[in-house]
Amino acid sequence: MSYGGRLKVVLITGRSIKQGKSKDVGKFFDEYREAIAICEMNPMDMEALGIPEGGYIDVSSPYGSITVLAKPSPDIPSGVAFIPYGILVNTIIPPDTDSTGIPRSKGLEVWITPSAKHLPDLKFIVKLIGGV
Amino acid sequence: MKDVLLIRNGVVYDPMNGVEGEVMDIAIKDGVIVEAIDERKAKVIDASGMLVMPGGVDIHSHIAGSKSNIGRLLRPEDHRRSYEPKTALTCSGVGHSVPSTKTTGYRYARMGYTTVFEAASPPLKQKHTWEELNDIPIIDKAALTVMGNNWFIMDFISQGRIEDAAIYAAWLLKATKGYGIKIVNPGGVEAWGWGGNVYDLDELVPYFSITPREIVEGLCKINSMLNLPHTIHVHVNRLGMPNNCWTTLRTAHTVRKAFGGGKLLIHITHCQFSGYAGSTWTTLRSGAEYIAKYVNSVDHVSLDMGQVVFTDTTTMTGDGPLEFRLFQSLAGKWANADVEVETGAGVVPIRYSRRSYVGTIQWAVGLELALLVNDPWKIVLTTDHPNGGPFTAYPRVISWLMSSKARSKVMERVNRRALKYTALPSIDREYTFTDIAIVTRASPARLLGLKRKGHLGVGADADIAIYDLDPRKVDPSVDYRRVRRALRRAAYTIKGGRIVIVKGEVVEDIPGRSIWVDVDIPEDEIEELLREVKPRFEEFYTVKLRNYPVPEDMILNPSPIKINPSI
Amino acid sequence: MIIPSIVVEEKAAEYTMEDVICPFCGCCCDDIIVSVKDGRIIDVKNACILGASKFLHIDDGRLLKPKIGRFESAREVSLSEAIETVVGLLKDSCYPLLYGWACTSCEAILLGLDLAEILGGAIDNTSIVCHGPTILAGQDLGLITATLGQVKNRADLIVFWGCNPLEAHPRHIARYSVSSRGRFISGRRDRKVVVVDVRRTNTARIADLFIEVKPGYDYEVLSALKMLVKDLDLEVDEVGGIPVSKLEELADMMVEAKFGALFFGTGLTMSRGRDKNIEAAIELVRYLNFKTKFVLIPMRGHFNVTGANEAFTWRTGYPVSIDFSQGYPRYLPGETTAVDILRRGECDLFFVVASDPVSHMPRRAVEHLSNIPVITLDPKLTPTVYLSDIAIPVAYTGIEVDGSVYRMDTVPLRMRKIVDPPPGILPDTEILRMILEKVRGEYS
Repeated sequence: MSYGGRLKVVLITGRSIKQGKSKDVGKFFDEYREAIAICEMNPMDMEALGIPEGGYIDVSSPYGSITVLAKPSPDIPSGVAFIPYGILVNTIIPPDTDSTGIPRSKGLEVWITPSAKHLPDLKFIVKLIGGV
Repeated sequence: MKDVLLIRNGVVYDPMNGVEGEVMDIAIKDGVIVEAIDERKAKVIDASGMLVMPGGVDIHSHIAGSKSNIGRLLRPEDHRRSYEPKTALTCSGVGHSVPSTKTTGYRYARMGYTTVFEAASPPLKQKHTWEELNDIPIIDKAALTVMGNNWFIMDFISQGRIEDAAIYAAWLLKATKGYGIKIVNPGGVEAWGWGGNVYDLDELVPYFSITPREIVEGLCKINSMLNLPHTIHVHVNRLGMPNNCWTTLRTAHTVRKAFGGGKLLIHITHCQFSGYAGSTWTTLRSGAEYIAKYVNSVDHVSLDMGQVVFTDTTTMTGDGPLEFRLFQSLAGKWANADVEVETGAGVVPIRYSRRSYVGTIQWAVGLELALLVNDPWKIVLTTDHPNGGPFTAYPRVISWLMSSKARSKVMERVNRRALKYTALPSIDREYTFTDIAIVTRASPARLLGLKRKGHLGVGADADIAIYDLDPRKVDPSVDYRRVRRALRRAAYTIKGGRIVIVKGEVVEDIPGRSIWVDVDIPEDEIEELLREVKPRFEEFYTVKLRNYPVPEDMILNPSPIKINPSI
Repeated sequence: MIIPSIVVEEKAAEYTMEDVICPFCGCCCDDIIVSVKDGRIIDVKNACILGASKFLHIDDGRLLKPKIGRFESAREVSLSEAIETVVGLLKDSCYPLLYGWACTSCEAILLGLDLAEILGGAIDNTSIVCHGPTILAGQDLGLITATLGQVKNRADLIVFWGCNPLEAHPRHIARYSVSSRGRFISGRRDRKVVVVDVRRTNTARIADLFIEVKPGYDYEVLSALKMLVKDLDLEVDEVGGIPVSKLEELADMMVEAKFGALFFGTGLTMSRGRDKNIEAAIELVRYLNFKTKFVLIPMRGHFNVTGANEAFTWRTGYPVSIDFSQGYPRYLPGETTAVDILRRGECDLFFVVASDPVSHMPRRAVEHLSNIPVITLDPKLTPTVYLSDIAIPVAYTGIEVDGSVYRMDTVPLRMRKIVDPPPGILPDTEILRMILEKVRGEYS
């Protein structure tokens, strides 16, 4: 559903080959950042929001907001988005485990809005976590 | 000096050396029982008025490895009812029927047991078995390697290549650091790989040109060819089914027909579970009399009880299809873990209830077997821990064997109708202390071929249990509760000459030894066979041949026994 | 030794090792060939892109010296100073949480358990954010499973549910499942492959049947399949966005298979329902076993997360989330689980081995780390290391040090050392032993 420039989708997080491969090169290198700062979306959803190819989006939940590259993928159904595991997407995942021990890392409802290009500074994010 | 110990004035039972309740001293030096020592240099234990026996030997117990761990995983509720806190000397742990590793070692030692054999280990996962055995303190350990559904063994036997089968089996024991050949539902667990089972000794195993009979006979022959210290250790087909005592007898008899009498050929394990007559569960009867009659008339069979105790416990076995059937009846938890090419495993919690018709028959059968077989040297006391009950129930089982009154007390509260179909109410026999020393120490040690265990002669390992019980003053038939209490917590347990338990508490936590059999087959013969086998091995298995064996440096305190085969 | 060593060619400073076990994912492929020259890995054969990446990049982004201080205020220190400081902090802590343990050996994990017990703290491993729900379901119902060779030799139906092996376990397809060959199966054409997922993954492309399920509806779909397997009628037309006719097709495939294998991943464990989803899968497989042979196998992410579960279980009775504060192992999901302890700010020290929780736990959970000391043992410069007050570099298990590990199907393997670690870098087992010795000394 698109509301005046915002789209509500169900967020799926998971592994990707690029994320898996680049983490062993190093998590502060560009290759890894590129691998995790990306969101696969349905092309029609992207069009509805007016996001061009190579465009950036903000993905927000009640827990936070991140800016990532939007990548069109016909394999993603409308109303769903996929972001690989990592420190970036974990910014917006709820910490509650409902006494199962595991956070609900898949199936969270998030809002997507078009955004300007922004390359996240992973070290900065770590510093925010670490209380600087 | 810790290394020199004198146990003074104990009332000693050492049946292997003909000692039956004699007051005598036992001298220990450097972990071994010796003729005499310099008393001035020795630490002295005053065992006056105390029962002294060799340390207990458990021939069959599921304490370590993949399915034990599956059992632990499956039973958090079982852990919550029983835990052991950390002390200055000991690690903490949990578990009523499936105790954690440290707790297992301490509890065995507390009861005066010093050697325990892991009942069944799948070769592919034997590194896991050893990692857990390494983590179990105090007791000496070994593991029996399962072979009765192994594709390579079955193929070699069915192709008539018995010598190659023997070399392969010897290599398997070496590679897994196993002690002996374990057979679990031969052919049946392979059939379970397709969801099936076998129900007859002469049924063909699906897709293999072999029958359970041929597997048992083949491995029995291999066992002799390799001169292994223990016989084949067999969990027979149709275990846990009504009227299975005939399968048990036919299995025992088939090796006699094939190889003649005159020496031990087969050990039927947890025989209670294979001792039923009556064609259905509702018409279940005890088959113990038939089995006992047979065992009394031959000399090639030994058995261990597999006694049931009325408690909440956990069944675990390599017999996958059996556990599926149990799940179907009990409709509770069920875990299954097939092991490629080799075997399977299943775990199902169970509660044996006095009121239950079947439970009562089961309880009676185990005792009947021990009481109706005349020669205690053919019997070993087990509960097939934890299948019939936790090993901590052994003192209770001992009290049932020694006291007809104790049995009667239980029989007052069991299913009366079931009792009618057992011989137990009419049995008066009561085990003596000598008998108990045989079925819990001397007999298992002898059956396993452990020359330095199960007795207190010069040269034996100094593994000794001392109980606060004067066998000259206590009548176990009457005072069975006193016997039970004393046997639960040893006054002293000595392991390898070190005092590890005093008044039931751990005073020293030492690592035990790891025993296995190293069959001396020329390396080039094994290599030649493996070269032939390698392509098929790596086609069937999902690990490379090179990564399959248990590396020797993984074993804590290795104590291999070198064996010369006859091939 | 009957089986020759895995070093096959040795000449001066160059050698090749065969049958090496890959230390990346839960596949633990053991046919890797690694070539070494002058102490450095120069070539890797047979590994997938993920495993190869690990082998070939061990020196990139590496922590080379122990450090004290967060972020840019980190300074290099000697190992002994680092250990002294660690021991001091551990001694002063009231309720430390020891976490990680998935990318190291069982030997190290057992030392971690020793340490947690002495300190009276809590210890947890990374399965808590991955297959923790599988464990919960395994405790409630029991897993019906098999080693991968059963699949290779017998399975004529493979179902991937909520997992994407082509991207997370690449060689699973060829080595163990889809195109593997064994005694009774000659390869891909003897099998049917089904993928069930919320999106058409790369794995779905190689399937015979792809079923797209609405996110969060796996429980309903699994329950519906169970009903169909039991020959019960579904009184609806679709479940979870899937037409019932399609579900009937899948149910028929499952019942008619000679041997079916259901592989599942975080698609089930992390979605709405979590452990209930796994319970539904187990229930389905149970009923399938009344009609045919069926197993389920969890796709474990790391090369020894299974080993962490095994070692935790044999030592404490529980596979995850142990609390030793009362002097014996206690386990209460939601209470003693790492994410919850952190979220509620209950631990006063965080000790991490072989894991990167700052990256892989929700931010709101790890924000507590701004309040407490954080100690990490890791070979690489990860976000957790960057944040740590003390970080000690360690050797790579399975590359620079031997170790015992467990594959996703609980098959135990022994990893071997291939090259030496850089000078001054020790295995984590050594570091843990040093810490334990000092801590024991403090407490005795």
